[in-house]
Amino acid sequence: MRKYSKDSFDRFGDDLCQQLLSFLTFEDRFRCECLSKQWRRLVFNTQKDIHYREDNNWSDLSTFEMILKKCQNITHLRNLVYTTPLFGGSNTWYITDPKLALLKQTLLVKNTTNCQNLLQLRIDMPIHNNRQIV
Amino acid sequence: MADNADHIDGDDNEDVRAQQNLIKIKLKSSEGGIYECGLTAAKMSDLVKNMVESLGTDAVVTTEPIILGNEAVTDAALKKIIEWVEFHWDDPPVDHDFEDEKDRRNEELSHWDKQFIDVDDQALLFDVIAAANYMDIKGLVEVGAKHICSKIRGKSCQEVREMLKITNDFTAEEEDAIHKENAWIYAKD
Repeated sequence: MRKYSKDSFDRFGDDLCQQLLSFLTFEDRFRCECLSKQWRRLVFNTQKDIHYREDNNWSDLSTFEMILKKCQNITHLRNLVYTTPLFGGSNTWYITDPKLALLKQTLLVKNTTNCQNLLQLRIDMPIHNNRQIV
Repeated sequence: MADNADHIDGDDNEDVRAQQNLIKIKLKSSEGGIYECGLTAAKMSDLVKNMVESLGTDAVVTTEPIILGNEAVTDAALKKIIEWVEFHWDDPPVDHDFEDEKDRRNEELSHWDKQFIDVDDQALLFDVIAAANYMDIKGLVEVGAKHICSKIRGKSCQEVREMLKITNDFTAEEEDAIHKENAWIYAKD
């Protein structure tokens, strides 16, 4: 077994890195991506849940897609944009934003490599938003 | 006292816990130092708790110390750990409700915990965390993790790497690529 210096975080296994990551914000977790291969792997693998917000630094589609590509274990995506089933019980998605149409293709088509573990996609619609049915 | 200790094991009643903490058991570090600790406090370690439960309290109280063989459990680390559990043994139990759990994760450390964990000697700090992890004292591992987080929050990758002495096993090209991908982190509105 390789011997690590006592004052080096290298001595810790995945469990402690993971514990540490669990106390960091989404952004600070990605800051840790470049620390080492161990950290990168854990940052990606432990991200299960994403709360999307329009005003996030990473809300542009290409960054968001890149994050989804990296984090293969995401099970929950919340607070996506501007769409909802309009009528109770209907499963139809109503898209009001071209960005979302793209997102839908990326996320929901089964044969893409992104988000294979996705369990839930919660999409909220602001009440006063101008609804457009496609 | 030790004679009737067994049948009150596992009772969460506060008086009983206080009474049990008057019972002292001995813990032995990997360096050979032997330290006394209250029974209730010591049982904050799931490792110790399981040992006490399988051996029986009487045996633990009257016979050999419990040996903590992991090399992180140095004399200095064990003394710190005993200080922590002796302060925290009568904390109210943690509620594992999901929303609460989330709040708890975001909760700042108490003043006492901050003082306790803010040690200059990083080797000792890491020994305490690794020893707490080995002894399965979840609350203390969490305190250690939160403390490190408070130090690395908002810092650049290189600063964190230097502070925690993490070996960079990326090539310059790989690191460059990650920085480019993560430019969004540093983009200020």
